[in-house]
Amino acid sequence: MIAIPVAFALAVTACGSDDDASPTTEAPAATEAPAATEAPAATEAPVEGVSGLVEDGKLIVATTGNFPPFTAINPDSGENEGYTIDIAREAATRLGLELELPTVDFVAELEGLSQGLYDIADSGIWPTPERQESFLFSRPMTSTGIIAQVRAEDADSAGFADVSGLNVGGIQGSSQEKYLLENEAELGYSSYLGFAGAGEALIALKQGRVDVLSQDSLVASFVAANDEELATAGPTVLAHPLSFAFQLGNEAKRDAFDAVLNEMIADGSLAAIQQAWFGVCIPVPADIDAQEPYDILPTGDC
Amino acid sequence: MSDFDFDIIRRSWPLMREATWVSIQVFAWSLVLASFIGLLFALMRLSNVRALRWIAGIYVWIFRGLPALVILFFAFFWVGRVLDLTSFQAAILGLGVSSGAYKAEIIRAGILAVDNGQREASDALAMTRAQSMRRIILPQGIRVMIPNYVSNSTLLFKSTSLATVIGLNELTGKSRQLANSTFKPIEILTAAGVIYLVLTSVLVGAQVLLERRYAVKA
Repeated sequence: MIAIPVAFALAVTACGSDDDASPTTEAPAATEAPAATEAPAATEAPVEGVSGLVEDGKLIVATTGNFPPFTAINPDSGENEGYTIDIAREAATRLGLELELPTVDFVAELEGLSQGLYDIADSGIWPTPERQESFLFSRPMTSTGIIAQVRAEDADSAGFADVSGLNVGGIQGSSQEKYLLENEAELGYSSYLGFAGAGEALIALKQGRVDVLSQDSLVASFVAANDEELATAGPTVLAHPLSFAFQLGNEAKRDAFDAVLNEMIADGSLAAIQQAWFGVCIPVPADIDAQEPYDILPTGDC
Repeated sequence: MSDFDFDIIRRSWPLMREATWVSIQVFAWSLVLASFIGLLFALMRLSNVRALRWIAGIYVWIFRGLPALVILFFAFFWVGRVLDLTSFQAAILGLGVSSGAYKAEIIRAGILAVDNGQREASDALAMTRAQSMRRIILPQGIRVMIPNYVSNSTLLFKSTSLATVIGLNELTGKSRQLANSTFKPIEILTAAGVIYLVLTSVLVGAQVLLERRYAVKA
């Protein structure tokens, strides 16, 4: 009985191909330093060596690859790309490290980070006080908020200012879902549907299964700009910073990364990356505990 | 259906093909491990030694009772941490021990289904227990095992999709990543579904061939 599966396993393995999840490894790219276009933040001295790396000479940045425009996979090239990926690539270059981008599920990303398998988790994480008990966070790399994603014909609707009686949806486990569930009574929506990912949630919105999707503001704007059937509506709520996460106790590594982020803000390269992915520049708070009272996410030319 | 974007499938195909290959390899090796574990623990369950029966019983109880997803998580983040396993190796270990518990019961049931007179006949021919098992019991038991064994193997193949939680870039994980990156879940998941259907059909075909091979000649 065993002979059959053994033969099969040997047959398929003999055909070649390496293992699995071999992470994407990228050699440091040439550094580009666009002209500074926004007020420089405090700049620290260039970093000489980084302590506490999982592997010497490498910056291992775990990513989900399923949260555009922050991290996504390009179907044509097969490469990870996005706002946080570009920042990680630039940071690795400036730190003189080889970038490795293992692609994992979000739960495994955080678990692997806490176990010390990765240096950084990059999926645009809101450094809430609860999360700060479990992870160290970099200085913010952007601010964002929560906004209602709607069908294009509802672009003039009130968004979260009035969702009473509507069917709303969100992505399971996200901050945007949490906002809906924690404010159910106040918002007065009719029903809630949680989806496994953005792809499914957006299809449900287009098909009319839900009327409003609770989305990250930057993601929602990106979707609206790339899909004429969809739009954003109403005010931004709960504006907050997004950061990179580190294992607790890795202050030296986090500080080295923060120094690079500060450099990138000061010399305008972060603004250039924002321009590339969001089409506008977004304010970057200095403090991870910042809770900005934005009604709309302030943006401007870089 | 008119909005169905075939082009996104064409563009995603190289990545999906690569991920399919990972799924096939994990399936093949975990099937080997599961079959080995299954045969070993089935024989232990049928042993005259009480300790062996107990050990095998506890194994089956634990690994048939735990969801494969949980086993995979432990295989990577606990055992895998100690043994320094890659996600590929941890997936084979996790799926192998999980499926092995089912295989043990399938093989045990197949052995028990062989008429007791066959054992008595082999005793009468002065065969040892091992000879009897190898030459008389197992060849007849296999006939009974084949449908359940292949059905369980089909489930095992589909269970490789769970390994995405430990970072394995197999077909389902890669498809979900592509679906969320391109906002085209229907197209991408339809393509993934077709790939799974084709590959599980190969297993069903193998079942038919095996049943013919072991059929009782009239």
